[in-house]
Amino acid sequence: MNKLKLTVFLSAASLWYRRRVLALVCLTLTLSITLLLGIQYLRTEIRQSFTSTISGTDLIVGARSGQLNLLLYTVFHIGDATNNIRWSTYQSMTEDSRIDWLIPISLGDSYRGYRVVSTNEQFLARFRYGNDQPLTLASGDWFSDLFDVVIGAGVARQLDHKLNDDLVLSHGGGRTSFSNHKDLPFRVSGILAPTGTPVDQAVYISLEAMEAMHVGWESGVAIPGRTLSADQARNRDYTPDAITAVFVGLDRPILTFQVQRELNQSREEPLSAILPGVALSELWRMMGQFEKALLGISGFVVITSLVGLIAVLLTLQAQRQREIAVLRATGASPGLIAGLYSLECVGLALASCLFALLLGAAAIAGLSPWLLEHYGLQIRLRPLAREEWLLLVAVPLSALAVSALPALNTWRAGRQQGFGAQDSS
Amino acid sequence: MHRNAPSRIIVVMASAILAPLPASAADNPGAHQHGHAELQIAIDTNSADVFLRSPAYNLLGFEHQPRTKQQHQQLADLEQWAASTPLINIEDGSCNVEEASFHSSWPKASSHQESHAHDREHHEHEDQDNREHGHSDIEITQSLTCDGLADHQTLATPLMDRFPALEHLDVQWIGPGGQGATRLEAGEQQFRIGR
Repeated sequence: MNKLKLTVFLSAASLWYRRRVLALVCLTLTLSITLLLGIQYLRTEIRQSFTSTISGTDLIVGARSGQLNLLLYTVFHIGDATNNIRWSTYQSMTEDSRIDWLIPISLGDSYRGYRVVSTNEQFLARFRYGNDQPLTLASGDWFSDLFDVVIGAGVARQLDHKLNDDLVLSHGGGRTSFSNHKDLPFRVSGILAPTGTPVDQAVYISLEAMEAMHVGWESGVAIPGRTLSADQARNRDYTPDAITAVFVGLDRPILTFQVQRELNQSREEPLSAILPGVALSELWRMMGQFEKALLGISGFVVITSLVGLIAVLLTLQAQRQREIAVLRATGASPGLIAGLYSLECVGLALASCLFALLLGAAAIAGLSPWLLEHYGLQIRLRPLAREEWLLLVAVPLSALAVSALPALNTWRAGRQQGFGAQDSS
Repeated sequence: MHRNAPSRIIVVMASAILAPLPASAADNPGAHQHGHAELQIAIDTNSADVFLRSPAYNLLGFEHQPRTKQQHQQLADLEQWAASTPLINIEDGSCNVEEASFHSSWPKASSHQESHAHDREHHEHEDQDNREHGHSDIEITQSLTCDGLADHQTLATPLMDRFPALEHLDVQWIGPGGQGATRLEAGEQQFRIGR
């Protein structure tokens, strides 16, 4: 037992003697594990954030186009609508007894690069994201006046808007627009609570306001003398001719496919009804290839650093002939010395794993507010999932495997050195 | 709101041009791709409605009205199979077909069509596009009962095994856990539902 104590003491001294090289190896390994684990973690988190973008909506109906296009421009505010759908189509949908609720939306204008979504109070009441979470207002109220605007949390934060600020919306999309609706400024009546979804990155007005803004506009230009003043505008009735899309909630979601088929075959107007969950799955499947490539790359990084670890261990071994001789002299068996070798390697890997976990957690905690602000990505700190634990466990296991070669060499060398015949310890 | 006048004009013009045709703009010919089929599943607590649409080639190996005795037999077998075999099942195989219907849309019958054409109960769609392009689809609808279906995360389908011509199957589902989709490749039988 004394011998073992001495051996452990000597090897600890040896570790301390080689601390700089070992720290470097540990750093390399830590960084590679952080990368591997980080990519796996982000993959699941982004997927979660992505599939939580919309929830509870059974169908999205727009002009005929592909399901991804429709999903991207209605939910993610990416790309543009191919066409609009008629107001009469929306009205006939309101009469369908299977349909529980409808959220009409109209797109096309923007506010300093953020989308203007014109809709009605149903958006606040019915739109759900994440795990069936409703939208809430962080301050103020949903729009009630014609020239009220409700802004998303991201818009409020980025442009530093407060309640009752005046906003001038721009005609068309794009960050810089030369045709602004200057004569009809809007007042911020409410600010939505942050959701971590594209809802944060938009500005909401009523369908009527969208119509009112465009009275007297022709071919994208305001005709002087024909636009309305705010007071004139309030006294008119605005029924839109067309809207961009409708979010549909059904009484019985089981009828989704049936309603979808009927809408897609509508003889009145060419429509596309899509299932948002299905379209999200499809989108994710397309992105899945990139994910796998990323994961593959980080796997290679870990393999490379483990190979680096072998190289370092073999080099060190050459310098440790004398140390091994001393260990053998104190009575350590070749088996014990080889064991110490493996132990050192696994210890390094475990320490690296621990550092990687700390580093990763710190990075996520530090970066998540920034990610939410700039990319609308909600990345939370959460316990590791099974796959991530498996990846983590794989690291010390492969370190053990990697250490086998130098350990075997040491064992053999230790036996050849032949300091007496004590094989027991 | 989109004030993209040019595309609206195009739509208006296109509708005007197409107006004399029997098929309106809202009636594009359906996609038809051999080796590919779609399966839609609407899951309730203990039951499911399943809808399969596939080019007839995938299921039968031909896309015309059956002519030979063998083809008639093939079609009869398929109908029999569709009426009795659930298109999806849970692990213990306890799903049962309560109701099934079988539709096929044959392209224009050839001149040497046998006079005693099948008298089986199947529906002939008058689909203009199918008649013109010589393609036909088969649609199978089933109502299934499966005990505790909503609790299962994994479903299996016998389609890929039974029909080797089927190279990939797009599966879409709705259920208590939400909506989702996946694509099965040849040889795959099981898929996970849930997000």
